[in-house]
Amino acid sequence: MPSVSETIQVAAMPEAAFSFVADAPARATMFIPGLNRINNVTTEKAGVDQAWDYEFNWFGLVVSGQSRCTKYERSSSYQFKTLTGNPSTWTYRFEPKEGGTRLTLEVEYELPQNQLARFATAGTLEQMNRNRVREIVANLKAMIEP
Amino acid sequence: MSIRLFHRGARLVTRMRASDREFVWRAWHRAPVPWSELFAPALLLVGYGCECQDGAVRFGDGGSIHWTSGAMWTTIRLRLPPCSEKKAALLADGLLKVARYG
Repeated sequence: MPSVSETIQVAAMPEAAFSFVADAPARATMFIPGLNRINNVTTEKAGVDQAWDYEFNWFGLVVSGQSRCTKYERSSSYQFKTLTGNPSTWTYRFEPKEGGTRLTLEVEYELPQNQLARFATAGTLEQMNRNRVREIVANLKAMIEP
Repeated sequence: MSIRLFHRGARLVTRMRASDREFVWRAWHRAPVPWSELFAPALLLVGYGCECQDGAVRFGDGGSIHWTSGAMWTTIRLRLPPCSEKKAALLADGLLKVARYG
């Protein structure tokens, strides 16, 4: 499965960064470009098996599906999978570094063969996804830092 | 899974004006929209407690959203509190998503 990964230094403690990312799935619409709607969150309590529906504008196509949290290790690691839509695994890692947090986002995704044939090569898709992941970590830095 | 060209139930919201920290949008609708019920939870998610009034939500240090509703559209005025340029852009984009898809 192809993957893209980006890391950024954030001037906030890992607990604060983790909490911002992991404790409310609906917050992601504020920092993920193209993620327009999150609803039907199954439980207010964040943790493994919390699930939600999403609508994502993926370069002009509205993809909707369901996601589920698969790892919730407070202050260090948070992961969810998009189960329907384009299957993907999003893993955030939070490591203490230089008084702040080294935040890494890795996204593993399946190549959507039917759409791929229409408008993009695998290399183009990787670049598009890499740019989006880079944008997400930069947005997180802006939102989390005081 | 579904793939479509448009979001179901989305509202048409047009950008009327934007300056440094002030944005004006026009939202088109067929029925009244409970704006404070949409904006207040979204602001709370990003750390801004809100004070809801009739036709307005106040948040942060001088931030506000005012709206004037008519039968077919609402004019929404967003004023952001002091924050970085990038954060201001993200907040404005995020609140525009709330107006469109909330």
